[in-house]
This record gives sequence, C-alpha cells and structure tokens, in this order.
Amino acid sequence: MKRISKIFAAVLVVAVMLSCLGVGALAADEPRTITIGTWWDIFYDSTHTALEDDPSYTGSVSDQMRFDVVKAVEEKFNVKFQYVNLTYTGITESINTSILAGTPECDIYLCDLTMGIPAAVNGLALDLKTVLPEDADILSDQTVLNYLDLGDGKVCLMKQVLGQNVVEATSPLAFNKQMLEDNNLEDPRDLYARGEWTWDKFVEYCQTLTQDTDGDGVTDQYGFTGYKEDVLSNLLMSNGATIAAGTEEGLSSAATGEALQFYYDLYNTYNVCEPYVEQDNGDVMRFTYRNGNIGFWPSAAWIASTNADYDWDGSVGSTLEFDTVFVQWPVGPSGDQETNKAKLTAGAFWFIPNGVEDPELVYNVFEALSNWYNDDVSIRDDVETMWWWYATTASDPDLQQENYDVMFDLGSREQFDVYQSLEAQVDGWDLEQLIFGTMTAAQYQETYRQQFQAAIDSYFG
Amino acid sequence: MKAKRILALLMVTLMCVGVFGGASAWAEEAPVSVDFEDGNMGFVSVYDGMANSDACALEVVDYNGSKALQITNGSGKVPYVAFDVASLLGDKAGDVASIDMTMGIVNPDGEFYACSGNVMLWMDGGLSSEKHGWSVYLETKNPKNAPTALNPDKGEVFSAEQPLMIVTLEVDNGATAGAANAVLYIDDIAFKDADGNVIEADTSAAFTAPEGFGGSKDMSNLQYLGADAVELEGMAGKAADAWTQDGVEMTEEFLAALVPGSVIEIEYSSDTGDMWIVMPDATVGWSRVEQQTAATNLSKNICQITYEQIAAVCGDDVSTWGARLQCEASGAWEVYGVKVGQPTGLKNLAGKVEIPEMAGKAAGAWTQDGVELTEEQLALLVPGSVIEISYASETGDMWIVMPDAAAGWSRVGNPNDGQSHAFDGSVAQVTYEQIAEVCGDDPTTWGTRIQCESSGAWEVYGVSICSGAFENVKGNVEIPEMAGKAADAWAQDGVELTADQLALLVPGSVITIQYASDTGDMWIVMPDASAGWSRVGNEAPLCDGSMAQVTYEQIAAVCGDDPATWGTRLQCEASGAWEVFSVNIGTAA
Repeated sequence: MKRISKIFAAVLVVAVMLSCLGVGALAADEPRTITIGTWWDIFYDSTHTALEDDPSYTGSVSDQMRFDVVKAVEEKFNVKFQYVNLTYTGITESINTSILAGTPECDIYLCDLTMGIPAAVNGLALDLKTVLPEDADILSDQTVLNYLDLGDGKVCLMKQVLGQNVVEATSPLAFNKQMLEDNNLEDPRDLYARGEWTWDKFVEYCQTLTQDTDGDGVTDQYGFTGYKEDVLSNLLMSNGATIAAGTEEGLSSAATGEALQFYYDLYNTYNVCEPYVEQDNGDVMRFTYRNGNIGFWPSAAWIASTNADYDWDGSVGSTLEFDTVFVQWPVGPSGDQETNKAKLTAGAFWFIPNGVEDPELVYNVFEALSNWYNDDVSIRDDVETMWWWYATTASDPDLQQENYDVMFDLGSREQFDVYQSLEAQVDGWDLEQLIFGTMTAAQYQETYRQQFQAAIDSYFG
Repeated sequence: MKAKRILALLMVTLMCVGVFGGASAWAEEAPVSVDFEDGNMGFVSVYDGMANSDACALEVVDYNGSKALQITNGSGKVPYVAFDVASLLGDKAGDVASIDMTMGIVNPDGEFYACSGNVMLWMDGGLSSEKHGWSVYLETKNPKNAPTALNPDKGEVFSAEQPLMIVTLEVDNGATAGAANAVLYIDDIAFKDADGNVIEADTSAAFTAPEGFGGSKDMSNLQYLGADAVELEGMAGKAADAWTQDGVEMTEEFLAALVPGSVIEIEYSSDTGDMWIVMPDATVGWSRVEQQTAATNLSKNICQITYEQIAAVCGDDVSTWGARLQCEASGAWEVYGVKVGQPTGLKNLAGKVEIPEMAGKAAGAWTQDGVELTEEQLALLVPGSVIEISYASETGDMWIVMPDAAAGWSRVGNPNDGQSHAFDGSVAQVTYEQIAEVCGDDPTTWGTRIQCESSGAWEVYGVSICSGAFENVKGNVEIPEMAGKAADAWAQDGVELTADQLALLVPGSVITIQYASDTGDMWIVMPDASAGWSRVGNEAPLCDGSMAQVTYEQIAAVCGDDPATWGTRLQCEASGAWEVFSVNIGTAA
C-alpha cells in the first residue's frame, strides 16, 4: 500500500511540474462539464440517452424538444451538463461550505428562498450584472429568464419564465359579474384600463353593493369579504408597500400604515364587509363568496377549483349560478398602477455561485437550456398543459381567457416580501385586531414593528 | 498567473518531502471518542418507535481502511440509530457541545446516489424536534465529516434524562430512483466540549434504554396477550423459502394454553409481508390456516391466529389437530417467535391526554389515592373515551374509584367484585361505558375526583384519558402512491384511487394512515365528493401522532351513503406540516 502511494505521489509530482511549466493545452478541446445542483430529479441532461429516461415522459412535443435541446446546447457551447440531485440538506451544505471556501461544487444551484436569500445577501450568489452584457435576456427582455429583485440593484436569483410559474400563487380580486350588472356598476376592468380603479372607487362600489335585499332591516349582501392574509398582502402591494422586503422593516412605513388603515376602515368605518368569522384559518372566509351575496373577494385558481365552481374537468357540473370575473386590485394613494407589484414571490430559483469559472458561459448554457421551446411560447405554455388554469375560473371560454390574462399580469409583477413567513415570530400578531377594531392601524404598527425588525434580522442573518 | 505557479511549486516541494522524506507527522489522525476499532457496539441500538422506523441491521465491519458501524436497511423505511452518549461519556456527557462523525454510503449497485438524514437527541421521552441535517451528496466526498453543533438554549444537552443521540437516514436518492437502499457507515465519532476538546468514551458501555424507548412493538390491529403467554420452543430462527413450511412439534405446555379464546402470535419477517400457519398432521388432512388473511400489524412483522380460526379448519377437537405446527408465507420468511395466550382486552388507544398529577401516586392494598380533575379533563370523558393507567401492583390488578359519585362511593373495574375491565399487570384500561354502568349515564354526576386502587400495594406511573380505541383491521391493502406524500399545515395532497382501491371502500372498512405531523393530528379530504369538497375526521380525529383511522361510516356521514358520489381522489391533511408513510384500507376485524 505504501509503495503504491509513493508511485501515485510521484506521478502527481510529475503532473504538477508539467502544469507549472505551462503544459496545459492537452485538454483544450475537451468539453467542460457544467454541474447543476438540485434536490429533485430533473430531465434531460447529457447523461440521458433516451426520451424514456424521464419516468414522466408522455410523448408530447415539449418532451421531445426538452430532449433535443440537450444535444443542441452541447454542440453550440462545447459543454456537457448534468443535473445532480444533492438532496435538500446536501444542497444547503454545499452552498454554505463550498462557495464560502471559494470552490463551489456546482456551477448552478437550485434554491428556495430560505437558501437563496442568504446566498444573495451574503455574496455567495453571483451578481449577473457584473458579468453579462446589457443585452443578456435576464437584463433586458426577460423572455426566458427573469430574476428576483431584492431591491439592492443586483441580479442573483434567476427564475425560468413559464406560464405556470407566472400564474401560480396569484390572488386576483374577483367580483360577482351579475351582481355588479344588476347594480348598474361599470365593469372594474374598464376602470382599471383607464387608470381609474382606485381604493376610493372600490369603496364606492362596495357601498353600493352592501344592501338589505329583503327589507328586514338586516344587511344581507356585502361589498367585500376575504381571508385576512389574502387581503392584507394585496392591499400592501396595491399601495406600493412592503413589510419585510429587505433588512429594514416596512411595517412602520406610511404606505403600510395607509394599507392597514384602509383595511380597518373597510370593516369599521365604511362597514361594507361581511361579518368576519373569528379565528378562521381560511376555511370559511375564503369561500363565503359562493353564497352569492358578496360583491368582491380575493380569489385564486385553487380557490375556484376547491368547490368546482365552474366544472373545470366536466365531472361535476358548475356549482355557481353567477360568473366570477378577475380584475387587478384597485390602486392605493401611495401606489402606482405602472409600478405596483401584484404577487408575493414564492417557489424555486437558480443562481450561479461566486467563484465559478467563466460564469457568462454558464449563464448562456442555462439560458439556452431554459429556452428549450425555441421562443415559441405556445409550446412552452400549450393550452393542453395549462388547461386547468383556464377552465377552473369560468365556464365561458372568453371569460376563461380574460381571467387567465389577469392572473398572468399579476404574476408578471412579483413582490419579494417574506412578512408572512415571519408572522409566527411576532408575538400577538393577528389582523383580526384591525378587523374587529380592537387596535387602530397606528397602534398595530407601533405594537409589532420592533418584533418584526428582530425577525427580519434573524432571517437575513 | 505567477502566483499560481509559485503555489504549484510549493505543492511539489511538499509532495517531494512526503514521497522521499517520509515526513508524515503533519497528517497525524485527529483524536476521536469512538472509532469502532475494538469492535464494540453495545452502546448502539435501533429505535423502532416511529411509524416509519426501519428494522435495520447493525454491525461493525471493515470500511474505508478501518472498522466502522454498518447500518443496513431492512425494509426500505427510515433507520433510526441510537447512541447511548450518557453511558459512553459518563459524567462528561453534559459537556458535549459539538459532534463530528464520518459518514459514508455504499450503494449495492455500485452507483453513487446522494443521501441525507438528521442527528437529534432523545428528549421528553421521544425524539427531539430540533434536528441537525447531515448529507453525503457527492461521490468525490464520500465518506465525509458530518458536524453537529448542539444548541443548549433549545435543551440540547446530554444527561441521564436525555442520554441518546439518534442518527437517521431519511433521504435515499437511490431508493427513490428504484435502486436498493444505501448502506450507511458511521465512523470516528468525536464528542467535543465547548473548547473543542475531544471527550474520551468508554466503548465497553452497554446501551440503556430510557423510558419510552423500548416497548414500542407495533401492536396495530392486534390483540394484547397476557404476560403468561406460552412460547413455542424451537420456532425462533425457523426460516424457509416462499410457499415452504417449517415448524416444530407443539409442547405440552403450549397445547395446554391452546384453548378456546386463545390466540397464537407469530413474530416474523417475510418478503411479501404475510404469514400463516400450517397444521400438517391434522386428522382432516394437511391444512393451511388463515392463508394470507391472518390479522397482521401495519409493520407486517407480527400476525395473530385465533383458536377458533384453527378450529374452523381442523375441527373443534384439539387432539385431532396433530402434533406439529408449521409456519409458511408467500415469500421467503423467518420466524423470531411463536406464542399462545389469552387476550387481555387491552386496546390501542388514540388521543391520549395525560393527567400529570396522577404520576407517582402510590398506596397500600385496598387504599385509594388520586386527584381532582380539572374542567378540561372532565370534558374529555365522553362516550367512547377510555382511561388508561400505567402501573405496578403486588397483585397485578388495578382499577379506579369515583369517590364523589352521586350514585355513591364507587369502584369501577374491580375484578375481585366481578367487574370486568382490561389489564395485564402493567396497563389497565377503564372505559367511559364501564364507569357509566356503575355511576350512571350522566357524567356530571360522577364527581370530580378520580382515584386508583388495587388489591395489593400499588404505584401509578401515568394516567391518561384517551379519546377512543383504534379498530383492529384485517385484510389491509396499501395505497402505495400515498407513501411519502407531505404538505404544509392545512394543505392537502393525495392520489387518484384506482377502481380496485375504490372497491375496498365498503361498509365496515377502515382507512389507516401512518404519519407524522407537527400538531399530531391527521385526517382525510375527499376533494371531489358530490357533496362538495369534504374533510372527514377532522372534528374528532382518531389519531395518536403516528397512526390515524377514518371509517367508511365517517365518510358516509359527511359525503353521503353512496360511495359512487365520493369522487375518486383521496387526500390527507393536518393542522401542522405533515408527512404520510403509508395508507391502508381494510375491514374492521
């Protein structure tokens, strides 16, 4: 054993000496292998030889194109590439140890926000602005890749532009089409198109819709309802406000204060909301719109599908007698229709670590892989694949398309704000204190701002 | 570039010294607490108390040029390997601030697949919720060091009450990809104090199981036999291929216990999970009994066959059953023990709520002691609920006394007075209905005090009020696609049931879920029911933190009597983040 070690070491010595003398051209034409660290299996890469290597292969055009793009990328960039499933624990360890040591084990990492934010904030993730030309897709058109804007001017966390990535987790404002028509109210989408869909107009609509329809002296129709978490996030974004979008808390900001005050007023000043069910975890207040006596509510594709509102798969028949129409949230006094964000960031991202050799090549390979559909969005987001997203929100095909377009618009304007993830660390935080009027907006801000700052400090490390 | 060349020349110099000079002092091995070179592993044990626990095999073997602890997966579940740190380190155990271990994996097919798991402590009678991940994620770094820094602020301190370090292997990419499970190796464990000093270990120490660690045999779907059950000598270690029998002649003692009402219990493993008995010499002819239908626990390693089931095949006269008893399975099998005894009537209980003030109560024979129940505790006494007492007594019996009942001072379950209840010398169970029989149907008249009593001197270790008893289920069919489903709190995930699986949902059927959830609860959701999206079992879930059951009748109460209208999807849900290990559908035994 000792003898073999000495021979091996001697060979190493020779190799290192050759390297010192500049004999390095031997491997000049060898393709570089680009390693992409993940925590689930992703298909296809240079190790796959057949379409059937992907267990979920269905024979679709998109499957074929995702398979074919591998060879095209290999040839165009003279590379091989491989997705390596490191496990979730492994990818976290690899990010925190190998990048910090200056020798990243992967050329690209898949990450969630828990890993990605600290990596970006602490300089482990490469700022692509420092290595890419200005016309790179992610820095210009963003047709293939976009990025998570952390407000620090850097471009670190990439996301592939996919129809589903865009529309998922969107929470449009929904309205009961027939109720608005019965009350001779103009379609809010037209108001939005003209830049007139504001909080004031929204209150005006809600006041019109809040009625005692049977004349017994008790209000039985309401302008608005909604689960508290869904409502606050959208009021914040519609007013250009955030609470935990960076290292400084935004709870105490004026814009957040306006959003909290508006929320308070909807229940306690304008009295246009359905009575709130105390300590509801979303099971009740997300679905009372189905009773047909609500004008506006926060919706989502999954909410509409939960009770098969519109028979998305044809199995049970539509269960609502009115149409649900999606519209953007009205714009608050500190908001701007042009710049307001509209969807809280979630999901998985990718980043190139600092210390990677030739990061521009790595980016170009990843962009080319991500554009397996050759810029043909109709293949990337083909209706067959996306059918559920269309059919679940409406029965009328035109309305399905219109609702999808609203979701896509909202999903195209992501807001990074992790305040919902931090709420559990804020002792006493409960939006019902605003809803039931036991705390004013100002009291709410003052009571919780320090706790939020502590939670943010812990999150960003 | 110049700097790189200088660095390379430095490396060459170092290597030359290494090759020709034999100067190896700089590479001296760091000290460790446990290196397994002495072959000792008596301080290690497998923990099988989780629903997903694997019955893995432990062995000290040669690995990577030295001895290491080898952990071989037995059934594809999660290995939980416990190290008795308190016994290893003695009074220094409390000084441990960090742990280094060398972890390596070998995949039987020669490929490399990443693996990861957790390191945790034994706390409060179970696994700590604080977990430290380890991973071996690159072939080029296999084996590698797995460092763990303990957090004393969260109670992570080894002590007599918290003596164990438990290592799991939870993510096995090879197994997920369809390959065989990885073999895990652990070596060179260094327990370090806050200054980084390695603490010396006594590797001759023997594993001492803390309270709650042992006695976790999976008795789901099974009856509890009395302590006087009779072992059938010679059966342990019998093994054979699929559809091949082996066994022994029944002893006189065994035959004497094989009487009406008795139950034969077999501990076993088989490739197919089933097991039954064969009576080869029966007068009625060579006979299989309960072929592939014996009552089996969810771990599929214990089955039970009743006297009456044998009589149904071989006739009522035991003398005609022949002298031999054999075992058989549809896959290769091994038996670890066969015994026969009378069931105690003890049940597997759900929704346990401790009455902490009762622990430690003790008294002499025919003397009572107990506590005043709070309003919350009294509210738990509802039809179907059961009071469970963990105890010791000189005479083996134990019952309760309701001293303030409107019906008068009342003993409930005193076997010396002809009252029946279930007990086995260490556990006693008294049902709501048994109390009602003595004290009347209205629990508000039972008084607020509850006491324990026995005919011998006694001590109580714990008393719980349980929401109900799990059904014993036969003929379980697993829904394999449900294994591994997981989601956040109040989020659902599940599968589309096949026509064959839907056909299992008949009156009397029971869905059994093995799971873990942050909040301990678990129920099902029928998202496509004609009655609308429906939760079933969430109002009063029958669950114990690792097993939950939902009956056909519960589903019918929510979704209607016609199962054709229930939809074809079945989902799970909990009020905390959850993971499901298995879902079975069977019928109540």
